[in-house]
Amino acid sequence: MLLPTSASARLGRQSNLLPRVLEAHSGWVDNATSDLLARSAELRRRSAELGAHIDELCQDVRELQIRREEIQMAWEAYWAACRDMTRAVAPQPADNGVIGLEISGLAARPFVATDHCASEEIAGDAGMAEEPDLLAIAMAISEIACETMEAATAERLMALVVSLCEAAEDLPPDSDPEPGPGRVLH
Amino acid sequence: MAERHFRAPAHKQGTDISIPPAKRSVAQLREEAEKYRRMAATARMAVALGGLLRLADRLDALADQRERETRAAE
Repeated sequence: MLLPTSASARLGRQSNLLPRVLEAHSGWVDNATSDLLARSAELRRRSAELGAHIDELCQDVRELQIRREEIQMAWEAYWAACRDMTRAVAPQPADNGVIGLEISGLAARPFVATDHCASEEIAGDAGMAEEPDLLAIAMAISEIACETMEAATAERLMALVVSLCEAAEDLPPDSDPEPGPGRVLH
Repeated sequence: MAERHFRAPAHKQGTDISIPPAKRSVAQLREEAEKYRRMAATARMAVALGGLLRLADRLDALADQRERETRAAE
């Protein structure tokens, strides 16, 4: 195709300009490419971080579930210890009943159980109860407190240990009705 | 994971908790009392410290009582 002379000349000028235009834009393209590569790397890094966070969250959830089970087990063991203790001390006469344990809100303190709901259970088991061993129960509860992750529960359980030790100190050292020869009661 | 409030109790360090304190020997009671004192040294809560020392004192008192009984029986 034949072009008019003026058009041919214009194309010639443009073709001469093209390398300079490309050269002028190449810096921008390079910069944009670098920027995109950097952003891509940043997105990959953030994605990895998010993945790690998700893994951490999953681990936290698993640990929370374990703690929940631990607290549940501690509660069950605590209640079992309370039940054992009320059974154990059932035959020990007090002024107007038997020594039991106030378990409401974990604020443990010795009390007279005859006015409490536990009295029926105590009465039912009194004939089978053995010598009280509050110290053994206190030791068992200290174990539970150690295993309990929640500070408030551990603190309350240890307060219960203190109460049990106090109660053990208040009890006579030997519950035999007629101690054998050579036994010393204090 | 949260930290424990004090280190493992005595029975986790080799003592059988299934044996009631009243049925343990004087040496076992003394040893256990010492373990509770060591545990108390690791306690981060005042109440845990108090409770563990109380347990240790009680075990020592039981050992003292057992020794007096033994002497009286001899």
